[in-house]
Amino acid sequence: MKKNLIFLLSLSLAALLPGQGDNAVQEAAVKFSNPGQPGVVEAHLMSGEITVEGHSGKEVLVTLKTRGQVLKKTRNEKGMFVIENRGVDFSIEEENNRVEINTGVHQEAVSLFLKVPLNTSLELRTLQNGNITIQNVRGEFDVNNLNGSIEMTGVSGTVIAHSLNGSIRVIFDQVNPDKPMSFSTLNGKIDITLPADSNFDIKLDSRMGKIYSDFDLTLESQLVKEEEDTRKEGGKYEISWDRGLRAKLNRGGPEIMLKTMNGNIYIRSKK
Amino acid sequence: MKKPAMIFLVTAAFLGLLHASHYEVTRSREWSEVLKLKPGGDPPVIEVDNIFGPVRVTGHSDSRVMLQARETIKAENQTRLEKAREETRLAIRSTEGRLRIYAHGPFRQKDGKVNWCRDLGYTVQYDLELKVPPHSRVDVKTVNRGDIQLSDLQGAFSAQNVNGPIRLEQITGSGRAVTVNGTLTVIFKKNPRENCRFSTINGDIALFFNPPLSADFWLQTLHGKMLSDFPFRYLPREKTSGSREKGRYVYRSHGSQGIRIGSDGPCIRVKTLNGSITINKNKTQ
Repeated sequence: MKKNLIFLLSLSLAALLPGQGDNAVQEAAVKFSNPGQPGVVEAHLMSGEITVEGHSGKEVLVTLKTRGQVLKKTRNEKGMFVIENRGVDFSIEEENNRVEINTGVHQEAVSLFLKVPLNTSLELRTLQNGNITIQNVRGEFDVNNLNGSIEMTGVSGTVIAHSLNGSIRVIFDQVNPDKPMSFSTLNGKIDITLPADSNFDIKLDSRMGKIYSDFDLTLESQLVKEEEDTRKEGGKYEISWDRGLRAKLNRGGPEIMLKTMNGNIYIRSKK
Repeated sequence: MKKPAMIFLVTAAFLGLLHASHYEVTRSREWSEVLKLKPGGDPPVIEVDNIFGPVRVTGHSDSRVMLQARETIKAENQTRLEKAREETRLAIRSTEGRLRIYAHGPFRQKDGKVNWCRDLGYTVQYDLELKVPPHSRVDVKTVNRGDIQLSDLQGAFSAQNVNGPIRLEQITGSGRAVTVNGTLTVIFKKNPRENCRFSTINGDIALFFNPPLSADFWLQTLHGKMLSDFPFRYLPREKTSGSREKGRYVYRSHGSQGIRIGSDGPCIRVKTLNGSITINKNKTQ
């Protein structure tokens, strides 16, 4: 009986001990096909955070970590061992200077860390459970986070950033003076820092928040009439008045749109 | 998507539509025959490539192969039915140590693959039951209107279905069983010594082994549970490395969880999308 008791006790303890195999880090170094030319990195996560940093190397260094707790062994009501799954469907592909990184449809949140060459364009998407952070990269940025914030510092180039439930903060080193940009969210603030000599037309719309700027913005008419006539294509004729503000930043130029429903908008001049 | 995969999916979808349609004219016949297996090659190889209808293969203590078949033609009208009789048949090819039984017709390509992308105005279903030498190597396929059952076999096996379940019973060999819409049940009489692969998209997978079991499992399901009667330990993630082919770099890591039951053993990969995976102890042994 004593032996049986010891056996049962050790079996129970073994079931409570964390399992092996929690080594949930994956790493890869990806070379662009043409490292002399700027490349594009596209990353799509279903759940998790994306952090990108520019570095002086020529490769894209990818690190993926799963965030889950230690794998456990428990039993169900019928006495069967429950097997947990921390495996991640994860793929990286590169062709024609474009790196595509994807995770599977349904799995636990992951943390994706990327080190990219300084001149790299980024197309980043995540749906939930994480923010998107970008530092020290030059290029064109298309960044979309459904339920999380977007934070970009020391970036140069053109940015389109959209979040549904999260704030957007972008500190530019330099901007592309010829291209328009867009920053929009539903619930969150938008905080943009531009070089002092930037020239843009700015469209601002914060339904439930305030707008602040240390630029000397030249405000234009508040209500802008917009007309759309698609009757020839079987559509309709529509006139609307956009309640957003329009302003010129310095001499004016391509349009920057900043739009949020619930949150303030800040347009700062880089000191 | 690669062309063969696309052809396969279009064919499977089209066959699914045919399955749903109601042809007016039906004709059935049944027969049985003893098939000669030409000597040469050991173990003998039995291939069954059906399209409509179930396939059941059982091992028996005889060196001959016995076939029992039922053919059912369903057609739009009598003319189509006659056309089906002219251009389709259950073909049997015997070469040294190999027997191939397959549904033949205009849907069969020269390379042996099926491409049924147009409405022929009829379908031909074969319900097939075979008794084969137990140590045969068995390779069985069907697409619609039937299950696959393999039982009392000792050799390597391959079973592929699309719209139907697969059941392997009292199996001693190793191999793979793959379906798309259907459950998978595999009962090993003796635990496999070689690697195995079992997968479906929509359905549970139930595997039965005898204790003591020694095997590494790589398991994956999207919507379902993974359970084991056997105690196990988790395995570290499989090592993956990227490679470049024809200018394209690919690094791919699959979302399977590895576990080890017992000590070193064969690798058994099990995957479903919508269903549970259970690793059971054989209770009949």
